[in-house]
Amino acid sequence: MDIEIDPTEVLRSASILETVAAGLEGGSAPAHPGNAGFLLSDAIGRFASQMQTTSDEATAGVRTTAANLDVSATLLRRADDDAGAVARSLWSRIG
Amino acid sequence: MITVSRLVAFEPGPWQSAAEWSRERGKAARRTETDLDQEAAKVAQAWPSPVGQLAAAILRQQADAQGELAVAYDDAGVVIDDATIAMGDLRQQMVSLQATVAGTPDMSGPDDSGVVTGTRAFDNLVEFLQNRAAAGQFTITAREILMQATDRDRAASIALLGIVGIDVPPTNDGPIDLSDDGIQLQADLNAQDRYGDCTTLSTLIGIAHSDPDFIRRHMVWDPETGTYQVTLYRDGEPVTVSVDPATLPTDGSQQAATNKPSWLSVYEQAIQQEFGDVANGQFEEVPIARITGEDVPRTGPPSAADIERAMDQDPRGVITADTANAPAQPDNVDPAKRVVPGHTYCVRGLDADGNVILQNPWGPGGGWHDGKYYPGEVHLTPEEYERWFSNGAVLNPPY
Repeated sequence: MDIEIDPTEVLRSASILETVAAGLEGGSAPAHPGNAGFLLSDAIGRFASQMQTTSDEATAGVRTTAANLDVSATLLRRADDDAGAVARSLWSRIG
Repeated sequence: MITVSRLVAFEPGPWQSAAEWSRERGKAARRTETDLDQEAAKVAQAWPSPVGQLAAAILRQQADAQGELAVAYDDAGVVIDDATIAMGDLRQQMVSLQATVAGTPDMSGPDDSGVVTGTRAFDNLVEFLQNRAAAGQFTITAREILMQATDRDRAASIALLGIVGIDVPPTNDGPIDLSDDGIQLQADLNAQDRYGDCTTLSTLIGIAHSDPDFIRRHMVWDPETGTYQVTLYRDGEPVTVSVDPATLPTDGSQQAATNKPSWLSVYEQAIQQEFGDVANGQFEEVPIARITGEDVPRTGPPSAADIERAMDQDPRGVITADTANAPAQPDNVDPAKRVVPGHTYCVRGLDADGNVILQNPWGPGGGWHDGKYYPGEVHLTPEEYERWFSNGAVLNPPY
C-alpha cells in the first residue's frame, strides 16, 4: 500500500461523481418537433434519441466509477493490505 | 418533396426549441467534462499508486466522452439554427410569391406543387403571351423555392444525423437529387438547349413519371471516381458510360431558370459520349432503344384510348408524340395550343375534359421559334392532337 493514499479525498470524489451522474440524468429530448413533412423534424427526434442513449451510457460509466471509488476508499481507510488488494482487483476488472 | 402548403405552414418555433435544447445539453456536458477532469486530478493526487492513476485515467476518459458529447450538441445546434433560418427565408419567399401571383390579373396558384396557371383568354395575342410567359416564370420561381427547401431540409437532416454516425439513405446519389420527387421535379423543369434531342428528353421525362427507379438503376453514383455510371444500350446490349457531373456542358439540357444540371443533363451527356450524336434518330426508334434496350415501334400518334390505357397501368406507360410529318397549324390557332413543328413532346395523359396533355421538353416557360411563342405545356382535344401530331411511340412496362 502507498502510505500517501488519502482515502478521504477518494471518498469525496466518489460522492461528487455520484452528484455528477445524477446531474446527467433527466431532461426530456425533443422527439420529432413539429413541421410535419420535413426530414429535419424526424432527424432531430432520431438525433435526440441517439444522444440520449450515448449520454445514458456515459452516466452509467460515471456512476460505476463513483461506486468503485466509494468501495475502494472504504477499503483503503481500513489500511488493510488485503483490502488494498481487493481495491486493485476491483480496478483491474473495470480497467 | 416539400409542398407549397407545408412550406407556408413552416413554424420556426419547434426547431428553435430543439436548437436551444441542444445548446443547453452541450453546456451541461462541458460542465460535466470540467467536473470530471477536476475529480481525476484529485484522485490522481490522493491515490498516487498505479491503481489510483488507473482510476484517474478512467475519469479522464469519461471527461473526454463528455467533451465529445458537448461538441456533438453544439454542432447540432448550429445545423438546426442554420436550417431554421434558411427555411424561414424560403417560407417568406413563397409567401411573397403567393401575394404577387394573387395581385396579378388572370393568374392562379401556385398549387401545392408550385404550378402557377395563366388564365387570360386569347383575346389579345400580346397580353395572352405575356400572361402565359409570366405564369411560366412564376412556376419556375415557385419550383425553385420548393427545390431549395427540399435540398436544404435533406442536407440538414444528413448533417445532423451524421454527427451521431447515422447514415441517411440514400446518401450515395451524388450531387444530383435522385429521390422520386427530385427526379420528377427535374423532369418537369427540364429545359432543352443546344442538342436537338427532343425525343430523348421526352422519353426520359415520361420514364421519370412512370418509374423513377429506372433512372436510379441506370444512373448510379460512384463516390470513388466522382462520376455517374450510366447504363445505356447499344444494339440491345447494356453499356456503361462514366459521366463527371462537374464537366457537363453549360449549354446542354438543364433546369429551367436556374440553369442547374439535372439527371437529364447527365443522361444526355452519357448518350453524347457513347454515341457522339445525341440528336440522331429523333424521329426514329433510336432514342428509346438507347435508353431502354427495347425495340419500340414508332407509329401514328397514340390515340386518346391508347393514352388512357397506358396511363392506367402501374407503372404507367411512357408516351411520346411528334410533329415531324404533321401539317402546319393555321396561323390563327390559339397560341395556347401551338405546337412546335418538327418536335417531340411527352404525352402526360388526359386532363379532366379529356384533352391530351403534352409537355414540351423546352421547359415550363416554353420558348420562341421563328418569331412565334410556343407554350411549355399544351392541352389539345383528341381531334386537334391527331391532326397536328404525325407520329408517336408507347413504351409499356415492364421495360
